[in-house]
Amino acid sequence: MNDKVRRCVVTGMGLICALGGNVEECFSNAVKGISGISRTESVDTKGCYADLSAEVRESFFGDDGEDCEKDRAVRLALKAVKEAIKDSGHKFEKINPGVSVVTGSCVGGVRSGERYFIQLKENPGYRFSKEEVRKLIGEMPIAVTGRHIAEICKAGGAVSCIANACAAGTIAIIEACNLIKEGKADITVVCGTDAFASVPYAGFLALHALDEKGCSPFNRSGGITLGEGAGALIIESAEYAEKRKAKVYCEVAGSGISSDAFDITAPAPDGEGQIAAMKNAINEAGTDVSQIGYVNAHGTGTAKNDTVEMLSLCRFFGGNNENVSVSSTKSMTGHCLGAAGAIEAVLSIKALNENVVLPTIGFTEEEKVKLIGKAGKTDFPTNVGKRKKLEYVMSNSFAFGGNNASIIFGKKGKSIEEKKSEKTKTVITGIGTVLPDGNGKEKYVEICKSYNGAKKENDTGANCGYGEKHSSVAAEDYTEYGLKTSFYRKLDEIGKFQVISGLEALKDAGKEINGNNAERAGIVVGTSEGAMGTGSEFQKNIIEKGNACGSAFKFPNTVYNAAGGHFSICSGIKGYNVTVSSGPKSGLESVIYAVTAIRRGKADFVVASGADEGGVFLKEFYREMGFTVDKRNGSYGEKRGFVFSDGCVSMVIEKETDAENRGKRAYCAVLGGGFGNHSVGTWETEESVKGLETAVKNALTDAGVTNNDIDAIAGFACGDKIVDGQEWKAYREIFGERMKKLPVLCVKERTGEGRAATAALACAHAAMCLAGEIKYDDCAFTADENGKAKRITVNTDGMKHILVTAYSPGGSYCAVVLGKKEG
Amino acid sequence: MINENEVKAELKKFLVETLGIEENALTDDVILFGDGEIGLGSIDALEIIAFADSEYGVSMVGIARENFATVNAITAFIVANYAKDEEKKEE
Repeated sequence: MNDKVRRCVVTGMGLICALGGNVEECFSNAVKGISGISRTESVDTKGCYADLSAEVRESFFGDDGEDCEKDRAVRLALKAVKEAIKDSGHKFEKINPGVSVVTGSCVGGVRSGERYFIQLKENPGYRFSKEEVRKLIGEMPIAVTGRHIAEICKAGGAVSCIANACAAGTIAIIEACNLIKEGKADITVVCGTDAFASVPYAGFLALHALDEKGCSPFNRSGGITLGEGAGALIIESAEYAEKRKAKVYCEVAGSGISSDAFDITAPAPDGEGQIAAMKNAINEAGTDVSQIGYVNAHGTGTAKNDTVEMLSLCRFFGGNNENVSVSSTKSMTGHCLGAAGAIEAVLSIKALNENVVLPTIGFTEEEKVKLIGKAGKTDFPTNVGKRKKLEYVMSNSFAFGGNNASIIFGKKGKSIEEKKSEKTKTVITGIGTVLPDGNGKEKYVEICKSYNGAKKENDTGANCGYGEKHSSVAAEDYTEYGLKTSFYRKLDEIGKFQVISGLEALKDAGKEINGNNAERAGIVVGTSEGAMGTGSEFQKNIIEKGNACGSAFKFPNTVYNAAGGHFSICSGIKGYNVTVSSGPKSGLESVIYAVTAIRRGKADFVVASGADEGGVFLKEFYREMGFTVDKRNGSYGEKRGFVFSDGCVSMVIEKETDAENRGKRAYCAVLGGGFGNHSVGTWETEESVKGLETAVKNALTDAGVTNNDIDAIAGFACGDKIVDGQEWKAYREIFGERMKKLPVLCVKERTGEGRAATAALACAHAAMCLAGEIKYDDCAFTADENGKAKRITVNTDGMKHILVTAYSPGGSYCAVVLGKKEG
Repeated sequence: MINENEVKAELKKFLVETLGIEENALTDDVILFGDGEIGLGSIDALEIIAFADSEYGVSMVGIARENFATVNAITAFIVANYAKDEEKKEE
């Protein structure tokens, strides 16, 4: 199944937003042009100039049992997902490696975070019980929703979360399809979710981007109105759906992702990035612009968005398609941020099936005339929906960070026959690092040479003091890459790490971004906690001073994809740009995403990074969760806890042929990757061995190698006996007696648990071993006579294949196989 | 009345701590907005407006751009308009 291009079809849908509690209700209200916008009830609007929002009424949830106790973003997601699963006819009775989950979110569990900070404000020094901690801050990271969904759909494949702010919902659908097309999943459960909360409300308020009268896209364009909700889709391979005789709503015909490389909040005024995303979607769908009957626009209602979007739509469709109808359903649902793309996909697919185009509402007769003046021949249905025969519909989402995403749904598929395609070979040609012991790849290699862990037989690393060290970037780092103060002053810590390590990786690869390659260059940022540090600072401030006192300066950095956005602006990369936030494994997941993007023809080369910052709140977060210790435990030992760390590691991944053509020596080949999951509770790891076994098996299959070909493993041991124990157990299951000779390299012995940063470092470390740049590794382990881990020093000469693994709490894993490049 | 030097010092502290401007580059008459070394933009202007309002009760909404040009210009505007507000209160 791995060598085939597979088609993706939608077989189930679920929806909850201000328009209703299910797909039928929401769609019917949208056709009628009913607004879900009203006076805000759940957030304090005292002293604020705008007090409207599109909140979900309690009655829309119906009786959702225990789910009503969960974080609001999770609750919304579960409501939509359960409707979609029921609609699809799937039962999901036992764990199935063919089932994957892809979520999209912007602010995730900020409502839970709010409860945590309010409790601390009202009761200084309050000691939270373990249960309270898990319920409050444990639900904050946007990755958590996917873990809840994975439990109910018994996902055994990928559990991945897309974090591209307001484009997250659309990109989640795109990535779900990529998993199917790459043969990594048969069925994907996709969900975009976000709750209305004080953080986005106070943030957009501070930016003066809320419309006090309620949003009016393509009309008054006085700002946005925030909404909330979740949209869910069951997407499966056409072959799988056909076999089980499933009802099929549509085919996901094509998609495109691009970056503006312009500004962190405003769209590029020329609309080129938006046009590029639409063009890529049309090309992939193999359709013609003239076949698109309806576009569900991003249509936020801000002056900047509406002006640029009107321009890009008119430029893209003008002269090529005078029949296209365009509307913004945000005029009814409000802007649901990371959920928007998924909600609008569901509405667009219903429109396609019912042959109805949805309206933008709120127009007076006079305003309708003005609209015609602005839109020319392009049809913008107003106030109520209308019947129209549709074959293809498009849904667009544009986000902070300059991320653009466009997706096309079609009634008509291309040939049902699956076509065989060759896998594009990929290699790593550049590495950049920002780590606690210093920045730059050379510095890391030096540290590897000087570390003498193996010489101390019983070394526990107790005096290494990693907990006190943190990654940092200084003025000289920026100067080296010619960055101006006016740019880097805007970055938060994770943004700084990303920019410096990404630019180093590009330099190391000898890649210069220019007009010829900018649109074919991509970025994937993997991050465990992303912007949660900046977000919590922002949140604490508004809890202290009120929602009218949000910081306009800080707010743009509260979205998880800000680091990727800043990096695209300073590097000039204008292509594929995805931020994935699925826990620590995201750092290695970024490599799989990058390879997939290249194989799927979405980019020629990609900077794949793992990035996570430290900071006061994140340290507090991990300490409260009971995961950290101050002094490092040895790998595969008997103690609990890891030393908290941070940093960013970036790798340039490109087509093997491109590297050869330009005479660039690669570190190694990236042969393949795979995912696995065995749900064990959102923050647990114990009893999840099967998840890692699946991930390794899938990676080996994708790479076309067997476990006998593996010469070493770059693992994820962090010093916590549960995490390390699961890892060791899985390797013994997979490799058996070979573990006596098969070394496991433990990069976190040197750096501490840097989450996504160290997951990416394991890959970069393995690449440097295969390239001969790291000749000896003294943070390595093999099995002793009793099968227990024994510390050794290993010579990396002669290694041909290294397996790299990574974990996330909840039982989700991924693995990558790297191969030596001869010569 | 407020002390001009105190306002200037507070403003500079705010620009360095909140907007991340390098202290050494922040002279009294360096151009704050545009393509120069400091390179402030519209979001930064919102923060300066919020600073003037919350710290001195001075509204900078909708005023001419030149009042934002330099540390000296912002300080002068705050001092002048704070004085006006004081007069109003006295009346």
